[in-house]
Amino acid sequence: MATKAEELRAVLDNLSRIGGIKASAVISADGLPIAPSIPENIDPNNFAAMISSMMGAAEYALKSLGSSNVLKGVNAESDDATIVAVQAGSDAILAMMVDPKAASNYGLIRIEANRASKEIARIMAE
Amino acid sequence: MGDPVFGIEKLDKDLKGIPEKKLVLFSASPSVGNEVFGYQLIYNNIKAGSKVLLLLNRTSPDAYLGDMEDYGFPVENKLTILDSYSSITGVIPTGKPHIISVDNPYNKDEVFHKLLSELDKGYDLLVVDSFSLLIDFFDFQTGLSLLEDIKKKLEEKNTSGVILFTDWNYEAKSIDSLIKAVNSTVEIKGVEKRVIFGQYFAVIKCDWTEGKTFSSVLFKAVKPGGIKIYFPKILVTGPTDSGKSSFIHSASKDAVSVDKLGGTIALDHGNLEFDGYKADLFGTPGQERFDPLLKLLGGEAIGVFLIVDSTKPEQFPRAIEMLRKTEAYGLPIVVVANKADLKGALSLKEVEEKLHLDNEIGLVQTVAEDLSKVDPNQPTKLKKEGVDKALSLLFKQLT
Repeated sequence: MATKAEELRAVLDNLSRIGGIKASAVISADGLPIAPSIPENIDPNNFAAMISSMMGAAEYALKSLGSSNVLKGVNAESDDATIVAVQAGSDAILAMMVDPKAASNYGLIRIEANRASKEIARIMAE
Repeated sequence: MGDPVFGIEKLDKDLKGIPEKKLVLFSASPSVGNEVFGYQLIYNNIKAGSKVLLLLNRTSPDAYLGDMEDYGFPVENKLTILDSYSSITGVIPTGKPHIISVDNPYNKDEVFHKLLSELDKGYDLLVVDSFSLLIDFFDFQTGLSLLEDIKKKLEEKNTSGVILFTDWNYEAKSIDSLIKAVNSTVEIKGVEKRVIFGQYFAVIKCDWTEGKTFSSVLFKAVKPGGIKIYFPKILVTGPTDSGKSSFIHSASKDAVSVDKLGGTIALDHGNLEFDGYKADLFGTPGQERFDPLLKLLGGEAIGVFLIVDSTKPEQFPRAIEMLRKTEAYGLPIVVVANKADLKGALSLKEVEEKLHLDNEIGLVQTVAEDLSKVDPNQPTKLKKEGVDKALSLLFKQLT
């Protein structure tokens, strides 16, 4: 039987086949890397910590505006890199590095990200 | 020269090395590698001047030695290898004097005979990598009977032994008899507990340390560096401007801060290697307006550094409140009394009294390396002495 880590890795492998997604990672809501599939020169621990604090801050900002719903995700954009982070159940976050030049592919990326985040939530809850 | 060692501080501290005539089993689950334990063990014993024999059937001697070197464990020609691999793959033995080749690794008589007669020459330590492959070549029963022969030989020659083994779903009965046959077993496994995904090792049996119980520890195999005890999340918290970022930047090799104009607004993160340990530090913001983030940052932490400014006792209640808000109460805590050399700084004793801490909690003073270089908008470099003392105090509590 595949371990949880292997199952998560398979979800990320599927994502990597979608044009425009350069790298992806599953991160715990507490900021620990669970299944990073990111370039070797990036420190996964560091990256995970930043993503989770970004999500935490965004959730807090929404709440302060009176939103009572759960945060779905955060996009961080620059000219040469974009991060799409979506909540994957209550324990995990799916973070993807997207090529900004692939803007035309963005719809597909969103759909696949949603599908993957549901899959990750299911694996984490097992 | 003393007994052979494990080369891994935690094991050497708990088990006091590997006494002669004793046989240790490293039993790993298939998802976790155990080879680095072998590399580290061999390297440290050779460095200590011990004579080591390796029965190798997992890979070629060159690949093995190359991998050892990648982990920072070069042994050059000082390791004697009984090569029970090359002949299967058709690699021509290099004929180096420290490598003895087995002509037919499928012939158990040859393998056993060569191993036992080599041991007759007198070694301090025998390492087998890997015992599970030996079992797969022959069968479990044959493996166990070889083990009995090895034990007799170790006994006779005052040699210590280590066998590396991967548990590929063998019958529970066979595993039981294997564990029964050795003097000590170290289990190496993966954890997938909620959000902690990692690897740990634990001593589950040892017949020369009476009545002692052992804790399991998370580890990472670092290239180079080998096995490091790993703490995935240590929290650094404390009131505004007490020096949390300074502490993290001084303790880690590559720290990042999310800050604007001096104050940390989201978090600091740094990873460090110290004294055989590896840890990730998570620093919280100090200002009260960020309190809703504290619980998130504190989640899954296993230890805490509470940083306080020795000159500002009025902030101490806030420090305690932050411990509560990060839900870090009850974890191992070391209090770092920073700025201990500034005018008006409280003594350690006074800090301890004013914080109303238990005696159990570690307390360390830190000071800036160079006061003239302190820039209020940048993390300050703290003197190594205090930082190291804080780290070793917390790590000692954690293991």
